[in-house]
Amino acid sequence: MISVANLTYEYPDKRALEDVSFEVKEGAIAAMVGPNGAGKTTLLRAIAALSKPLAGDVLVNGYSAVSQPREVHLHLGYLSDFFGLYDSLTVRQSLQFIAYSRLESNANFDSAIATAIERSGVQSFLDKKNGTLSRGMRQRVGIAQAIIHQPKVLLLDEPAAGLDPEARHELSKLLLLLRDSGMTIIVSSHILAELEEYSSEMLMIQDGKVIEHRKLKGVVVLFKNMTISLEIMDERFTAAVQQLEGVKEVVPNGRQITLKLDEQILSKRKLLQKLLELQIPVEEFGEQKVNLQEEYIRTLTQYKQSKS
Amino acid sequence: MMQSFLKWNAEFAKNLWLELSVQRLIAMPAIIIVVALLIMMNTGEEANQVLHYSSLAGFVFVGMIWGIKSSADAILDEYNEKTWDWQRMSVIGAWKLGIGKLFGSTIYNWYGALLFWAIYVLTSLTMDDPAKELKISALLIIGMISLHGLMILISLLMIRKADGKSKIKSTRIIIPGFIIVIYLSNVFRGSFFGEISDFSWYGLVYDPLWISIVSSVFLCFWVVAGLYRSMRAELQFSDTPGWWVTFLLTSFLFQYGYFAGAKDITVISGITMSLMVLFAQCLALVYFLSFSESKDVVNFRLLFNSIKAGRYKVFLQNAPLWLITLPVAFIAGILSDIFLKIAYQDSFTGEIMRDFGIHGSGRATMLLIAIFGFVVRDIGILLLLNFSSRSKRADSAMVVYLLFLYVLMPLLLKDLGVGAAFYPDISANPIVMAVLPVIEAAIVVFFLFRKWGRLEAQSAG
Repeated sequence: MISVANLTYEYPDKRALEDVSFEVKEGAIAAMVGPNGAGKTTLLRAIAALSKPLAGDVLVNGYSAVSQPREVHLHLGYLSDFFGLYDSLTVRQSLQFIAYSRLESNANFDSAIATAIERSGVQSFLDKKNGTLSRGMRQRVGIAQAIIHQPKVLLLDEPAAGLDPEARHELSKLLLLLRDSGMTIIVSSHILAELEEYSSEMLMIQDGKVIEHRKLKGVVVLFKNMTISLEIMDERFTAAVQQLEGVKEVVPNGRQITLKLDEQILSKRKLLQKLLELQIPVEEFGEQKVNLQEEYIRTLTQYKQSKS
Repeated sequence: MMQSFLKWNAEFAKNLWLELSVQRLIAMPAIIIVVALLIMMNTGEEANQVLHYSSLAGFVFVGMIWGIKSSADAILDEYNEKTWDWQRMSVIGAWKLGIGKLFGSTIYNWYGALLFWAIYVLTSLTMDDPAKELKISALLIIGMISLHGLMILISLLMIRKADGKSKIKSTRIIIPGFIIVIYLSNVFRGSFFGEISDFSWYGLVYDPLWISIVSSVFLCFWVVAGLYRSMRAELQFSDTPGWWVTFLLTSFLFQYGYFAGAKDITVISGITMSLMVLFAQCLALVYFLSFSESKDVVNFRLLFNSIKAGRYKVFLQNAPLWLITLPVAFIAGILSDIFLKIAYQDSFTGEIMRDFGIHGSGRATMLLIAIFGFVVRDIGILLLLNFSSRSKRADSAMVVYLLFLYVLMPLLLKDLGVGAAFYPDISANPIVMAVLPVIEAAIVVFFLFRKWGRLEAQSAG
C-alpha cells in the first residue's frame, strides 16, 4: 500500500532522509519511532506528497508522490502534530468545509460527514468552536477531517502528544477501528507504550535512516523469549535446561532463567512437561512479551555502537 | 444557503463563516450612515461634494488599506495556524481556491467598500462631470482587486521562504502594500486630475481615464492569472513558466501601444523604446524576485540534477522566476541595443538617449554590457550569501552590500574616477565602463562555482 524507494530529502543545512526504503502492507498500523530530529515528520510529509524529495519516490496505493501528488492526496489523509484547525469555526463547519474541499463534486457529502463524525466520536461537541476544545477533542476533530474522504492511507504525526491516558486509550481504539475499516496507517510517536496497543509493525528512524523495520504482531517468530521463575536456584537446573533440544541462549538471573525457545522443536507445553520431569522447582512459567521501549533502546544502542 | 456556497466554492464559504457575523454586518452600515449624516448636517450646500470625496476616502481606507491586511491574512493565517496543508491537499482546484481567497478573505472589506462606492456613484451624479466620476469608480474596483491579488501573491512568496517554525505577522506586508497603493494612486492621479492629456494607446484610446482603465485591467488580469498559477503550484501541479514569459511579452506589446501611432515616433523607435522599457522592467523584476523567492540550496541541487539528467521540463518546473526573467532581460537588452543602432538616427530616440547622456549607440552597447555585469555580480553575491552556513539573514545582508556597493563606495572614491567599478557610469571611458563590471561578475561567478563545488562535496560526503 505504501512503498518508499531510495528516498533522499535535504534541508539547506542537513540531509534529513538518506536513501530510505521500506514497504507497509495494506491493513497494517506501522509505528514510526525515533528521537527528535530523526526525520519522522519529513518522511511523513514526503509520503503525503507535501514535500518534494531530492531523490527517490513514494508510491501510495500505486500513485507516485513525486509525479502524481494530486492522486496521492485523493487516497491519503494526513494529520500534522498541530492538527491545523480553524479556531473560529465550529466542528460542524470545519467538517463541512473539509468535506467540500476534499471530496469530488459527485460525492455524497452528508454521508461522508456523518461517517467521519461517527468514527471519530465528535458527536457531543459538533457545535462548539474549535478554539474552545481540549487537546484530545481537537485531535479527534483533526482525525475526522483527515478521514472525511475515506482514504486508504492515513498518516498521523505525533497524534498522542499532550493527551491524557484516557484520551490516548481512546485514540488506540479509534486507530484499530479505522484499521478494521480498511485503512493502512502510519503513526509517528514518542510514546512507545501507547504504540504497543495498536501497532502491527515498527519503523525505527535514526539520522534520517530506517534502522529497523519489524513486525510486532501476527508474525511467526522463530524463537520465543521465555522466563522461568524457580523456588530455589541451583546451577544444575540451568545446565539441565541448556541440554534440552529446542532451547537456546539460557541466561540465569537470580531465581529466574531466561531462554530462547524454538517452538518448531519444543512446544511451550512440552517444555513445561520436561522441566517438571527433571524435577526443576518451577514457580512461574511464561512468555516474555516484547517490550517496545526495551526493543527501541536495544536497537538504538546497537545502531550507535555499530556507527562508532 | 451556505450549502450552495459550499458547493460553489468551499473556500469562499469558509471565509464567509470566518469573516461575517450579524454584529459585523450591522456595524459597518451603521457607522457609514452616522458619518454620512454628520457630514450632511455640518457642511451645508457643499454636503454632496464633501460626501463624494469622503466616500472615496472611506473606500480607500476600508477597501484598500484595511484590505491589505485582510488579503495578506488569507495566506499568512493559514500558514501560522498550520491549516495550509489542508488547502494544499484539497481537490477544489486553483481557480476556486484563488477566487475564494481573493474575494472571500476580503469579503468584509468588500462589504464596507461597496457601501462607500455606492455613495460615491450616487453623489457622482451631482458632480460637474458624472461620466468622469463613474470611470474613476470603475478604476477603484479594478484597483482594489489588483491590490488584494498582489498582497496574496506577496504572502505566498513569504510563506515559501519561511522556515515553517516561526509565525509571519501580516504587519510585515503593510509596507509593500502601502508602496503598491502609492504606486497605483500615482498611476491614476494623472487621470483623476486630468494631468495626462496627450497619450494614446495603439491610437485607439485617447481619453487618459480610459487609458488608466485599460492599464489597470491589464494589471488586474495578470494579477488574477498570477494568483491562479501560484495556487496551481501550491496544489502541487507542475507547470512550466510559459505563463510568466507570456506576461513579459504581453507587457512589451502593451507598452508598445503607447508608442504605436504616436506622432513623431517611427515604428523602429517605438519598438526600441518598448524593448528598453521591457529590459528595465525585467531587471526590476529580477532584483525583486531574487530577494522575494526562496534561494534554497536544495532546489538548486534539484535544478542541477535535472540539467545533468537532461530533464529540462523538470528544470523549468522548478526554476525560480528570477532565473527565468534573467535571460528574458538579457534578450530584451540585446534586442534593444540592436534596434537602437537604427533608431538612434530618429530625432525622438536620439533625443531621449542624449538626455540620458548616451552619445552614440556604441556607448549604449558598453552601458548594456556594464549593466549585465552588475546584475550577474549582484545575483552572484546574493546566492553566495544564501549558500553560506549562516544564511538566515542573507537577504538583509545583501541590502547592506548593495548600499555599500552602489552608494557608499562611489561616494568615498568619487575623486579617484573609479565610479564605473560600482555603478553604470555613463561618463567613464566606454571600455572601462564595460570591463570593470564584467571582471567583478567573473570574480563573483568564480567564487560561486567554488562554493557550489564545496556544497556538492559536503552533500555527497
